[in-house]
Amino acid sequence: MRVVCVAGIRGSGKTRLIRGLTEISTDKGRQTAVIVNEDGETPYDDAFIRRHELGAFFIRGG
Amino acid sequence: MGCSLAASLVDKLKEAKRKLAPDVLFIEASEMVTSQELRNVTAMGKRDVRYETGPLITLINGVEFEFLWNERRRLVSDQVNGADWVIVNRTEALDNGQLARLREMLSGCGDRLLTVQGLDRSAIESIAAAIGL
Repeated sequence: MRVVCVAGIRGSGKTRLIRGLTEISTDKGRQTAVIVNEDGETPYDDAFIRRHELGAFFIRGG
Repeated sequence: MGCSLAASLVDKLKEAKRKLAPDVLFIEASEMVTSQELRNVTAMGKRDVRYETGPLITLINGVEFEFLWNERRRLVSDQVNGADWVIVNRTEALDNGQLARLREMLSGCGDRLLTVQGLDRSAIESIAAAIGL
C-alpha cells in the first residue's frame, strides 16, 4: 500500500485532483482508497465510489 | 492538528490497510493541516501496519495564492516547505506578472514545483506521471 497525501487550503482543488488520480489509478487496475477529513459535504458521491470501487473512509473534525 | 484528529487519522489508515489493503491510499487533509503534521501522522501508523508513504503533495490555487501568501503565510509556508511536490493550478487565469511573482515567491521549491493550467484529465495525467503514480 502506498499512501499519498494531498494538503492545501480550501478551494485549492484537492478533491478534484484526488478524483482524477483515482481514475488514473483504477484505470491501471489498482485498488484505490481515500481518507477524507470531512469538514462539510462529502466530496465523494456514491456513483463515483461504486464506479471506481473506491474504498472511502471519513473522519470528522480539524 | 490536534491529538484526537491525528489518532483518528492513524486509526483510519490502519483500518484501510486491514480491510482493503489498497494499492494506493489517498489522504485528503483538511486545510489547516501542515506537511510536517501529515508526515508525523503517517509515520505513526507504521508501528502497526506496513505501507509506503509519499509523495506528499501541496496543492495551490494560483488565483488565490498571492492573497493567501500575504494573509495566511505561516500556514501556506508550512504546507509548501514540507511537501515533496507543490502543484499550482489555474495558472491560465494569471497574467505574466502574476505568474512571475508566484514563481518568485515559490522559488525555494526548485524542481518540486509543478504548474498546471487547470485540473483536467491531461493535467492530472501529467501530475500522475511526475509523481510516479
